[in-house]
Amino acid sequence: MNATNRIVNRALLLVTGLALAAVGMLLLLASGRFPWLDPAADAVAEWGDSVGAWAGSFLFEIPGLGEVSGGLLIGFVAAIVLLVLLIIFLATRGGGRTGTAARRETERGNTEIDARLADDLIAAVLRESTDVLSAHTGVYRVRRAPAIRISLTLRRGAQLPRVLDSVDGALTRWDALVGHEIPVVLHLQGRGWLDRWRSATRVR
Amino acid sequence: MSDNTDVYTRVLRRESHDSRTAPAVVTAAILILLLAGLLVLGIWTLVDAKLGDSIAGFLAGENTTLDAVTLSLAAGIILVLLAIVLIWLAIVPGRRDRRSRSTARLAILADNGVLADVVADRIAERCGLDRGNVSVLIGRSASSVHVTPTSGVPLDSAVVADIATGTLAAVGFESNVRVRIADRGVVS
Repeated sequence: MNATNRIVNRALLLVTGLALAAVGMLLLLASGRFPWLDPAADAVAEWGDSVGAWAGSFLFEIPGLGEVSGGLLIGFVAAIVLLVLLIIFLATRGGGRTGTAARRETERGNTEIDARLADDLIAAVLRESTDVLSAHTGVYRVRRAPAIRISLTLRRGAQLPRVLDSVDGALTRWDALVGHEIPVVLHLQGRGWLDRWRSATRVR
Repeated sequence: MSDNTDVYTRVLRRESHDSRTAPAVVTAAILILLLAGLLVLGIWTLVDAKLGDSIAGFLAGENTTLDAVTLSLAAGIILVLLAIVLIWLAIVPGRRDRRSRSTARLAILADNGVLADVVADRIAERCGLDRGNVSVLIGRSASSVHVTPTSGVPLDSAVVADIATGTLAAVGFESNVRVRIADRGVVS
């Protein structure tokens, strides 16, 4: 439920994939093992030569270094811009978690409900159930408003309708406390490999 | 409440597809390392012309014992294979093994494995079987139940199918259930 822009993820994968494919094809062409592709290889080589000639055709004077070819300079600038964009990309993954589950503003003051209270009032109640191995909540911002995610892992042999009823009960009490309905997403998670060693029943 | 439905639609759509963040982050990190390395090398060659000459010599294959043809062929094949993987990851929808629905108050997202566990538990309970003799696989629209009966005790596949659909319906999910009962029972 985080705020990662997924189109950008896929765009990065696609662009990198296409670039790698182009370089790989060039290397295959350059290997000369495919005689029927030689006209294409010649055309690519000719095109590469003309680009190289254009890149070397203008020079810049840089104090302390002397003359630098324009192509090299363009390459440097492009690499730096790409580097910055990639670092921005890495920094903007994830996010969207928030510490405030609800907020109400009146003339006399503001009231904020902390996300930890959601854990105490919803997840802690569910943890009491013998059907539940673990329960925890997280609050995320979805469409500029907080939404609660409840992650539940069930014990072996759990009665799912009973679990859903207890979730409904916990939510009714939560709604009464908050005063308005915050969107809630219940995720029934599979047990991880470590949970294999847990017992099927809970004894109290 | 009606104003939560578009939040639910959005969250459930996102949660039932893979985010592709992990491969994208790995790709970006590798690209950053490569670009930084290239930049450092480039600036170094500007300052120190001898390094540039040795790099050019290395690229021309002066010091390598491998011949250039095999090297470029192998590198080309590896790069094209990598490219196919990346393009595949970018284009394929990447549905997760999950089902979702939303009720009046909340949106429910269930891993198919959890539903399969619950269905198998109920079948084992109601038919008096060992839990290990029931295996359930829940897919996107259809699901299959495989039961090994206790030897000598007849088991009706329609009953098993009813239990499975009933269990799923009780939590609000529907599925076409196909039941297969093993020909030979076991003594459990």
